[in-house]
Amino acid sequence: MSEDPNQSKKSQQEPKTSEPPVIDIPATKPKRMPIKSQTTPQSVFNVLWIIMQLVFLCILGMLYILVYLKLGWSGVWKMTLLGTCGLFAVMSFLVIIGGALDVRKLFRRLREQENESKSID
Amino acid sequence: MESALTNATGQTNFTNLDWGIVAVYLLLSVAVAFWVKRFAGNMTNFVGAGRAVGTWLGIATLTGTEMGLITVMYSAQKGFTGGFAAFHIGVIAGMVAFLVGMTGLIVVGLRKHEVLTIPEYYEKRYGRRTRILGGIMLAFGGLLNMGLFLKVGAMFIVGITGMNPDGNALKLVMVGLLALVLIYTVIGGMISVVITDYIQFVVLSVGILITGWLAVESVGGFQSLFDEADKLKGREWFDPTDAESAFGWEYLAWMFFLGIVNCALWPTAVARALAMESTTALKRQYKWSSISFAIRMIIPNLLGICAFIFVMTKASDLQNLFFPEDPDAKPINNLYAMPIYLGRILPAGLVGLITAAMIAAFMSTHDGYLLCWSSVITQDIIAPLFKERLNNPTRIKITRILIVLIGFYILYWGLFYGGEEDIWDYMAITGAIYFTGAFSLLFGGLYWKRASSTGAVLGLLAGITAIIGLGPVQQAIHPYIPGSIDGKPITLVEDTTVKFEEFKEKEIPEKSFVQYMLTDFIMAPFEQAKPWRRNALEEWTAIIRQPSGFMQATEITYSRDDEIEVREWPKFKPQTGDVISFYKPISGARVGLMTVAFTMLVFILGSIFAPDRKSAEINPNDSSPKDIPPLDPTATKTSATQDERPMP
Repeated sequence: MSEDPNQSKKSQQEPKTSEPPVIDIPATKPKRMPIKSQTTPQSVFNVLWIIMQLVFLCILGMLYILVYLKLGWSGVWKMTLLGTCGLFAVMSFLVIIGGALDVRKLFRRLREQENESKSID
Repeated sequence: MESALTNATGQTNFTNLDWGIVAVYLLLSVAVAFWVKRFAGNMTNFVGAGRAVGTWLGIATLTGTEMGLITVMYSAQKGFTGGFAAFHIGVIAGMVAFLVGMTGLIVVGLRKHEVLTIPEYYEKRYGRRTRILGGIMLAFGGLLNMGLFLKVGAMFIVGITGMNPDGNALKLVMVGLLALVLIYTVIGGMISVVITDYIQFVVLSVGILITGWLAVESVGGFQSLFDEADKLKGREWFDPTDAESAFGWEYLAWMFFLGIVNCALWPTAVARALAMESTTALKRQYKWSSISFAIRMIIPNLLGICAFIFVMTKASDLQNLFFPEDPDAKPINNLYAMPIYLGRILPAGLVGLITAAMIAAFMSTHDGYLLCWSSVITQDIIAPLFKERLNNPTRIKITRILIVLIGFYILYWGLFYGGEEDIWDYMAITGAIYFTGAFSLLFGGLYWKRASSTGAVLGLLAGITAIIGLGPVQQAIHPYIPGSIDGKPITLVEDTTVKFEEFKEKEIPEKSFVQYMLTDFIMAPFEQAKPWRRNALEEWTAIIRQPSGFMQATEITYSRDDEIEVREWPKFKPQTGDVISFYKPISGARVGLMTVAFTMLVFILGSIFAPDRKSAEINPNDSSPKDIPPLDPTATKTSATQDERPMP
């Protein structure tokens, strides 16, 4: 058994001329034909996702209209103020945590780039 | 009045502890810039952070850049003057940013092309001349747009810290801030910008929520805030569509377009998008940032509203400053309202932290903008003129020199510009010089196959007409504004009243239906006065020109067929023999919308009547295909890889 795995591969690929050629029969696995009906294209999911977001926007718009009809502009701005501040608080929490991880990732990539450019030099 | 302002700013809670907090914070920011300097070796890293920014960091940096001190100041000013109705600006901005994130409108197309700047895309789609012209327009509009940032930022610091605004404090703060920003941007490039944006996001997001809560408490709580606003101002402060409000439907439409511009066309926002690691991350960044796009306007609006209620109900000294009872007294610039108010309501320690965060916000906006405009000039004007022969170190050197030059320009402009628009409206109009053309070029380039380079050049040039929205420009060209009234010699001057030869009623000639419709349609944006009627010229502007050519402009408060009355003479008292002429100022929103329509029309007509020669792109045997660049995004890697070359 050779220590070099590449070498052994090479010897397998180039059979000696004195020996009859060995026909490498691949292990016969029953091929599974792709079942078309089971794979949904990614674009369908994308469209559904966009529709879902549009529905969310429509619901939000209807909510605004209802608030306007019931409480007038004052109610609309109250809801806007509370809603955006609440969302911003949640988003800030997520961004502070996720951003810290991204900063680490960014520096790792930049260090790799720096090392690569040094090795090229 | 000036010493009253000094007294007003002097009553701040800002202490030495707060100065300490500010100093430590700023030192940390500069230290970060020095630390990341070694990574800013090539142009892609210096300008685009190596295109390695993750989603959350992307949101932080986009928010950090867009929620700058200037945004806080102009939004507070809008809240102070327009009340809750000003919230619509933030709501529309957030909604549009979400839609852009959902559909990927423009930004995903740009990201797929792997360009560093928008004019670089122009070259790939329309050719080199369009890139250079696009770069010039972008730099021109952008630099004008940035012109007042330094002054407004310095006004905040003077107002909140209690420095003496009557002396040289404003100028000294401007110089100090500029020096700090220049050092920090020149050294670190986009990587330091991204990192400090993140730190700023952490401090500012927490700080601004606490400040908002304290501001509401300072006027008696949430319900009291709305009740007081209703009592003081009524419907006009709540309904943005109301004709009496500071806005109206036209303004709303303009804000919708500006919402698209802010997130999908404005180079500093697009630069963040182009630095994202993938288009999926980019879309997510925009959807989440839509909250920031809304909140960056809404909370400062709230601070402005609270400042107004505080001034009107709890601080009579400030009320005299901002709304003097004496009709001859000139009110103080209302940009000072929010910082003076915050200086009074925030406790020591917190006021220092908020000021530090605001200065950081100021720095992050400035560094983003300085880097953006300087790299546009380097990459899109200078480098193409040298036919891409400039190597990376030279480009970075030129970019750094330009950053310093732009810094000096904004110092000069901040000291000497004399326009009196709201800051937000000033920025919208100056930005429109660039973005009206850019909208047509990017939208057409990405989604319309027949868009041609001739149409692109014409569209860019048509965008210059947006400059008409600026007050000083309208004054200079007022004889050419449709509906303006020619000069008449002044016959008598009494205090603030001027008499002249009377206007005689004109008979309007009969027109055919077609003529009538056409005239009405074209002239609709321009008001046609009947000056022989009482008060027909109210809110118009009178221009008085001396025989020597020296002139002044002032708003008319009352008019009759042979006289007008004004509040004051800003520069000189007119004399008999001076010439007086009149024009109705066109609002920035109206000029902006007209420019958008005009630019698109020019772009479409140019593309239809002067299409590009397609054969040059398709025929591989053609010996000179370089004039028209390939449309295939994969074929555009050349210049990107050229930028990736490491520094020797």
